[in-house]
Amino acid sequence: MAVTAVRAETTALGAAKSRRTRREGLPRWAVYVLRLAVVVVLVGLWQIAASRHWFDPTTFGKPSGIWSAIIHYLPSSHARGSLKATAEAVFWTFVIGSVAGTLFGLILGLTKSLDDVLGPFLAPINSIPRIALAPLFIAWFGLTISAKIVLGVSIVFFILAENARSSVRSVDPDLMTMARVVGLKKAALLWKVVLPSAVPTIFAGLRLTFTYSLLGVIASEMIAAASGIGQDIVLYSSSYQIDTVFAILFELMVIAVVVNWLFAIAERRLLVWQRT
Amino acid sequence: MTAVIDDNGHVLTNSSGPEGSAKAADRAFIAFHDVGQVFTVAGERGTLGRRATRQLTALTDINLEIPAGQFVALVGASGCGKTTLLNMLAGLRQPTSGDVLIDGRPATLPNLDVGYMFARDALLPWRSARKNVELPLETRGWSAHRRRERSREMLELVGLSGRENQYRLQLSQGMRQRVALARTLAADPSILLMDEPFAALDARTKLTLQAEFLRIWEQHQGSQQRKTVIFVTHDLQEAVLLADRVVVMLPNPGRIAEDRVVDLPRPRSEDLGDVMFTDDFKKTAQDVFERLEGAIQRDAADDEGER
Repeated sequence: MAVTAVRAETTALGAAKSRRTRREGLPRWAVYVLRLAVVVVLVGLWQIAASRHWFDPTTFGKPSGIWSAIIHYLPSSHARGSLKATAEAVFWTFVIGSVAGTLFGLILGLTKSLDDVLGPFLAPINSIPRIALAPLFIAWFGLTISAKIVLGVSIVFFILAENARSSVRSVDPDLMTMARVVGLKKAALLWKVVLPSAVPTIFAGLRLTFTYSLLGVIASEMIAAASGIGQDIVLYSSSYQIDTVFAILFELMVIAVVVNWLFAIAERRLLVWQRT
Repeated sequence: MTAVIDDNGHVLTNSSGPEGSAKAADRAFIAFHDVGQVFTVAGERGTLGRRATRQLTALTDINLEIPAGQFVALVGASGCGKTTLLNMLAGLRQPTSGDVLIDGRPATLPNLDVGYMFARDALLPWRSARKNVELPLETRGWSAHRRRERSREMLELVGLSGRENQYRLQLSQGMRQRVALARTLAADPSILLMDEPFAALDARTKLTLQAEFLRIWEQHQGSQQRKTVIFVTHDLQEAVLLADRVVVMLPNPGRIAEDRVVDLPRPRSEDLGDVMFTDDFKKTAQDVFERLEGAIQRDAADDEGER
């Protein structure tokens, strides 16, 4: 304990702040055991409640039924087809939305005149509940992948535009002063100071973007689509195959967690300098 | 304005305005002539939502001449315009009135002859220590090979060999300021603007860095590569310890109140810690302190009188 205190004192402020301080608490293994216990107890209670008919398992599902749906339904060719349709739409939403949104935001953040004209539109447009636009997009594009992508992009684009815009505007003024004194001008200033300092913020935005891409696509599919996970959720809910619905939700959760984890790895690789 | 005479009867060149500058015309490497700086600051919001602006006089009647190779410390409370003076020399800010001259020409941005070091390290966190030191060399068109060699040399000079590839977050506060010092010195500028460079450091680290900086500076004294230093600090001891000359400033509006030569023997860097305990140092520091106090009291008395 004394050693950590001394180290915290001697390390610089910034480093000390980001260094994870070891709190007093349970030992690591106990935390893992307890976490597992929480899951086991909750799922167990659910299972018992469902099998004793404390509530109706056809409406609320049953863990054993969900498990069999995970094993039997998820690997089926229909489920794989839906996954593929949704994944494709999410992929394009993510790529188009993040590239276009980030570029647009950077341009606004860097050109004052354009920002003065277009900047004020961002917040109002971004405040429209985008799901409400889904019927419109479906009317325009039909039951195609385009309808899903457009809805997804309409959410993601503005989040990233706003994010990128503020990231270049909030460059540490000390760094800017230093760079100007050192002799950096326009292009060099942009490449060597402004853009690199925007990278962490942009990256944080990208992580959010995946979640929102998924949200937009699923929502669009739920309203109308030829195929996709969102369609399946509606289908199985309305036909009271609740266990299958839960299996699909589980699938979505796993996908989101895995992708987020991949992002975290990429971020750590790319932003080595943020590590202490 | 009267000429200021120091303890040993030396007439100092500033404060006497244009006549004084004529005497030292060929010596005045850096010159402030009747410089004033007025900021327009946003005031209260008016009833119609229009923001009123008001004028704030940051500096007034600044006359200061600095010969090449002199180490000048600017001391004074915060808000007395010390940093504004440096920013004008760096060309970051133009004077509202008067002239700021370097070698007879108005100070402009960027001036590749100027190295500017800040209280905060201003290191680019995504660049390694080495790449930070190389930054000013990049704008000066040095080849990658020469940059690399120079940055290694500079980091060695500030005692950071072996830390070349570390990032800002991996370095202690003291090390960061060392890197910043190496960056400031890398392109071998003839003018060093130092804005409280050691203010954020603990006492021990501060003394070490002061000594190292002074060693580097004293090593070039009297040679072609001699460097003129304008060192802003609010620490009187530091000013007397390091400088050839201490210029005391007062706030509201920022102006020069006192100007005194420090004639402690050089080189001082070898035993900087001991210099602090010599009678000469104590005498000089006390004198500067009394002058500062005297100026503050006269100023307060003037304010009373005006009311």
